Amino acid sequence: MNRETNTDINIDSLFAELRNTEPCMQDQGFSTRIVVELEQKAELSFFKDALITMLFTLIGCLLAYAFFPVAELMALLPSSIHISPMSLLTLGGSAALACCAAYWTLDTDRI
Amino acid sequence: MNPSDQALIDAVVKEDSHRAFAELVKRYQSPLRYSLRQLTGWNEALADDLAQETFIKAHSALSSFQGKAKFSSWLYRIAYNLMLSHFRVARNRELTGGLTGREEQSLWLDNHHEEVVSHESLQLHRDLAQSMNHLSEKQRMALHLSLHRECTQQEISDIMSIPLGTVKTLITRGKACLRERLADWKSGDES
Repeated sequence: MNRETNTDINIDSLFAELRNTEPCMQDQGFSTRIVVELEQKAELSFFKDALITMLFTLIGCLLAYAFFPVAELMALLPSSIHISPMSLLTLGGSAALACCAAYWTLDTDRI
Repeated sequence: MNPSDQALIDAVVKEDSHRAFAELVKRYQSPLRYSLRQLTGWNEALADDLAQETFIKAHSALSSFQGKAKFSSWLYRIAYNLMLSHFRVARNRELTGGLTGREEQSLWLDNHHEEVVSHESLQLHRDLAQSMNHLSEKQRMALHLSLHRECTQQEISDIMSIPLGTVKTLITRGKACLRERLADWKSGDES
């Protein structure tokens, strides 16, 4: 880049030169690699994915049922609950906060 | 006659046509890979990885492309966000004692020395990319889009999701930093 002889470098003309001499990148299998990767991803279809998730969830539930004292834990649950206006407000507030957080997360997760 | 970008996008979205997507990739791979090389200090391997990731992400999000902006601008937006997150991860790795971005790059340049030497015609592009590497990622992107891709400031603002005023500042400061960088480098050459 020792073409410039004056001390002031003209950035605009430097970029103009780059623009005019921009090399054309040969594909050389680049697009093929992408399509192959997409095909590999597509092989695991939505239904297969859902089936695998359900299967493992079921196995997990069975294991949990076999190893944890489910009956004793169930007995710990209260047989009745009292809902006060304050607890309703707290519940509503928490739901609103969770919705705001979800919206914010989705809104800021830009591609 | 070549189908339009929109026709290809429709074919991908409605028919899940990989052929149509491959055609889109062929159309845009060269400018995108070049831009990413400019933005990564001419690290060819990293630029190609980011370009590949960009196209894969674009494929999965293509149904959300509304055609309001140019397809190329939309691609640049994806590439820019991927690049930012790559550098963020690299910085974190740097903090935890891994290879730094610059070390990775110099390692790559050492391994590819023969290739570097054999491509004399690309020297100017490579030199500028390496000078640009000293600017912040945002300055690099704004300068490249403005001066090389000749995008309008509004387009740059949309691609980078930043206010118009910030775009102007990034370009002005980026130009000043680059000018300083190139002047230092040139005086180093002359001495």
